[in-house]
Amino acid sequence: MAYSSEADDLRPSEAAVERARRAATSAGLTRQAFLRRSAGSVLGVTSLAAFLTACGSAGTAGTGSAAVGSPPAHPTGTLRIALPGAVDSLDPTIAESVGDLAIITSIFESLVTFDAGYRALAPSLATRWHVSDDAREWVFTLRDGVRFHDGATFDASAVRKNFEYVLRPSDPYGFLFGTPVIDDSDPSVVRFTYKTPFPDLGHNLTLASGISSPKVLGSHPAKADKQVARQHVGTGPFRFVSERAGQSVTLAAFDGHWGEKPHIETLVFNVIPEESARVSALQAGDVDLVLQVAPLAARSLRSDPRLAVHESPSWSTACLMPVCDMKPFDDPRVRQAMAYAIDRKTIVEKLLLGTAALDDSMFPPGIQGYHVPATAYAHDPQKARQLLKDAGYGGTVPVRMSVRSDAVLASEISQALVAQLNAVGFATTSEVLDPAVFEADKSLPRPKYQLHWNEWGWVTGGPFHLTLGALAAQCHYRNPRYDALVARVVVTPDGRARERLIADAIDVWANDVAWITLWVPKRLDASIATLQHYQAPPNVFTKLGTSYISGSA
Amino acid sequence: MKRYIATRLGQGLLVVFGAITISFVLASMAGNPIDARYANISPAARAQLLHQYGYDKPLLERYVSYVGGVAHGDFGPSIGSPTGALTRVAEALPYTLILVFAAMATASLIALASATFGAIRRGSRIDAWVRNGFVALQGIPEFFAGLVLVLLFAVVLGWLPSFGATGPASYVLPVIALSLPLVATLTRLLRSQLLDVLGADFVVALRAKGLSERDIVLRHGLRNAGPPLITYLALQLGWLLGGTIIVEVVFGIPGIGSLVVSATRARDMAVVQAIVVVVAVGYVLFNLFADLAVRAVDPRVRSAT
Amino acid sequence: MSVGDLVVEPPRAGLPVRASRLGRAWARWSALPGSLRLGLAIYACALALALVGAVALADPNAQDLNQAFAKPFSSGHPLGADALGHDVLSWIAHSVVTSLTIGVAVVALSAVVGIVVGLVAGYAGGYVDASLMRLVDLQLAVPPLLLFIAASATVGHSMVALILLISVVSWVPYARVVRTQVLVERTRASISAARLAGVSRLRLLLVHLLPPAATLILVLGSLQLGFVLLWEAGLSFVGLGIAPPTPSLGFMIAQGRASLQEAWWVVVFPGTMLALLLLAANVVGDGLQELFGIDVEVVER
Repeated sequence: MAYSSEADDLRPSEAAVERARRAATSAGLTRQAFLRRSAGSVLGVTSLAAFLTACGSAGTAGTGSAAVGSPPAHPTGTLRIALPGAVDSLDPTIAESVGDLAIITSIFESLVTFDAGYRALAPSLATRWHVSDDAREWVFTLRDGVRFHDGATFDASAVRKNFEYVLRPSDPYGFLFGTPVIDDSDPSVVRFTYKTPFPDLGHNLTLASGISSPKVLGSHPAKADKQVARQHVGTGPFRFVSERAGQSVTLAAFDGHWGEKPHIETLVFNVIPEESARVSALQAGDVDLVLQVAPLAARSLRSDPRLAVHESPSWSTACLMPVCDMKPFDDPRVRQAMAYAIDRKTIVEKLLLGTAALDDSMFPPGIQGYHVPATAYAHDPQKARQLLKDAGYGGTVPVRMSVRSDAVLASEISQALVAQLNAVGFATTSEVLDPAVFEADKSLPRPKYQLHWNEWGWVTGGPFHLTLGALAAQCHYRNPRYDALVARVVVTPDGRARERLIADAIDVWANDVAWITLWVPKRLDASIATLQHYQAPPNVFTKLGTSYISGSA
Repeated sequence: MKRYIATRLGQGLLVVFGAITISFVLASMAGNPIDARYANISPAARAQLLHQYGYDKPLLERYVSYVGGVAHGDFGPSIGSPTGALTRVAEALPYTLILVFAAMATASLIALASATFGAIRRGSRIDAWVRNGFVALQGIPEFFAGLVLVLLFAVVLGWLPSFGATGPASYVLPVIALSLPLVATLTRLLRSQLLDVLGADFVVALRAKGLSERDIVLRHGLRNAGPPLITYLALQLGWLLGGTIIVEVVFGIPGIGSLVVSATRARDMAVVQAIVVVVAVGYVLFNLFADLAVRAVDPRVRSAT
Repeated sequence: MSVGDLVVEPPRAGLPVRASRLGRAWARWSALPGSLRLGLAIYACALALALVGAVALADPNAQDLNQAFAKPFSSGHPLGADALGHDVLSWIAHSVVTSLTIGVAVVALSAVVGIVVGLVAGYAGGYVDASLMRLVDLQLAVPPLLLFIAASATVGHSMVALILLISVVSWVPYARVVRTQVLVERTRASISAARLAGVSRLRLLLVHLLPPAATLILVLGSLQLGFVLLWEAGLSFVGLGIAPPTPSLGFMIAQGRASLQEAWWVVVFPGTMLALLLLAANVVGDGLQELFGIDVEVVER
């Protein structure tokens, strides 16, 4: 990888700061966007059978390690995956939910991807790339001999067409790629040229940039929405076969794949909105893989020798976000009181059963620029009470908190937070809101809820929520020093200087308690024990191209 | 009679129109699919998307074009269904219809059997036990029944599939869950109908002739039980459709119950409104049928209206 | 109208003569239909539990994460605890009050609305009747889920909002029953005579036409109570029901369902209480029907 090393310190112009500010207030991504779990609405409960199974499956110990074996010579077998909700969209520039993205990752590929350890970018459709010193020019050398599922050739013009599509006015994530001029004069090289430095292109390319066949995009890629919505043709290890709306999506192995040929013949994604039904389906042998299981379910599935739980640290943070320009959180002492009031350790241990890591930084380890801030807030209710008194709140401080209904354990976590806040003098009431209502309230200049609990996915592997300012915007956080630092981070190429700037920004952020990171959740998937080479990804892109089922003929 | 049907159909049209309007109003209060799906996209992209899906026009204009579109079967652009809202609903409808009618049939058969038994052996211990048992069943919410059945028959016993609509076997559990609450009231209804018949004069004559209780109930009682049964089932259709929502979500059946839930969550109002219209039309037709049946049976109601 | 059971036992037959007040009260109680007694007994037990809860048990909202998912029969948690350490028994006891409050309020409100509509429709006839009945159809044709989601986006989740919402979808049976009753009764000679004698319409409605339907309404109301409880629990599953700090059965069941296999008590015990209350509602309704010798389903049409 040929990133430039040192870069000069750039003096931010007024215009750059203003641009950054506008970008910060207008663009952003939430973890929910990528980990949407439409936790199916009306649900059921059971008593008798639960009782029966509770008695029946008395813990048989052992994690049942099946013989690893080796992948089959030809793609064989069927892997059935449980989706938490009906497929929203299979357009790679729009899809967000974990389920949709698992399908997308099997069909489409991008120019770059992550290596096996998710530490650095690795070649995918591009074999090499070079960034100019000022990060204004990116040159990707494309892989030879790649074909799309429909036989079209992969070359620079296909890439350019795809970016015309991604950068269309109505695309919600076009901002991830800036406004480049794309040069495809050489069919095996693509050149992106930017007016201002754009150091994040590499990381952002792992997101929302699946390359579709040029035949699908046609001659007017910017208007190809309907075609892309109906035809799903990419270069990935699996090709789209069929979809039964609301029910299932079927993919088949693509033997013309340029890389490691897939080992599974058929992938079937089944829609099962009810969470406990997904777990039941896995136990009954009706599905083979469930994406994202709850901590308690994971614990009991571990004791089943036929099943395996795949755990991996994820690139997401659970955050408690106050609205910093409204009472009571406009006073930094009140925000500090909030930080001191929370006992994160107990929540992680008792509610999340240890399936999260405590962290004080703005984003998780593994993300470029990770830095632990100088100021940290331990659990100290006494201090919290004192700070509230200092801030002039003699009695209780009324607070309305909102939580997204499809966040993991949303209701339980919000209740625990409420209890901890109220123990120090806040009078918090919390509401679990439908995603549409939750987001609508947050975008108001004066939201009804002064506090939000949310999870954010740093899925590009880079600090993009920082550079795009989404979190700061949602917290209505304005600090000229922080904004100036962020504006410089945006235009500083990767390297030590950038990391210094990021560290400074995080220190300012932590000192201001603009919002607090509660913990870094782990990603938990459950599958049959015979599924090999499966890794729960820290970003939301589930790769199935190298997995296989051991013991299948 | 023809005039009656015509007026009822006309009124039905008004009802459907009213349902369209109300659901439009509710939908516009509940938000738009762009905000539901995307958080914090750039204002330019948001404006573009809203324009693409027609949400930037004033409410009245949207309403007028919406109603006009409905008349042609076009419910507006659906963000989740590229093939169109009505097509999507038409795809999902058969699963729900199978579920609903299978549940009605199952509940009717069980109710007929137990009501007949109860009428023949009325007053006996077994009769009382059966009736009480069914009443207890009625108290079990479908969501209770739903997952008990999955856990018991799919996970623990492994006899039946735990989700989906993949063939007759996968419908067994959902149909049972849906028909349980119906059985009790149907049984009581049929039993009282049968007992009515058994109190009639002509039955005394039949008994005098030496016909057994069983024959009387089976031949004459059941014939009379037919119309109220149908009327009651038609009335329960609305309730059943509500119940299928729960059952469909729990069992993963891709009918209009699951669809209305996911579409409402996603604020895909084109699909939601298509469902409302389809359900309203179906409801009007069923109601008409039920009304006709009642008019044929009860003369007092006929003369009063 | 038809009589429910062919053989009607006269309520007083076979009563032993007792002199004491208590004895007479007991005798009257024993003469009530069995199902009615069962239902009332269940209600009484539930209310007793609620009383005990209010007085003797811990605050249902008291969290103790160290006691998360405490098993039943562990110290301090006879029925176990949920994910946050809430005591299940205390939660159930306090929820009974919430559920019954909502139930009674909704039944009262929807009955009033339904009776008014039914009276007007049945008596006025013609256009008025037709349009009111179309209003009924309309209300039934709109999916309640849509209504609730749209309403909660604007109105919120308070108990009052919930009572109003559920009432909106519950008034129809009363209207139907009253309307049918009025249609039948108003053909009587006594009604026409009263009208001729100058009795005002309002008085006619309230004093002459409504009372015969009173028993029907009572029966309907007791049956509807069960539906309201079901609705409230069902709404909790969609996130639209009562939320903490107000304890409700539906909420605990909805929150506990994801951890069903591991912590079954969080679902089983509240679920059983819910089922018991539903059973009570149904058998009280059945018992009243038996007592009054009527059958609501047939009359509804």
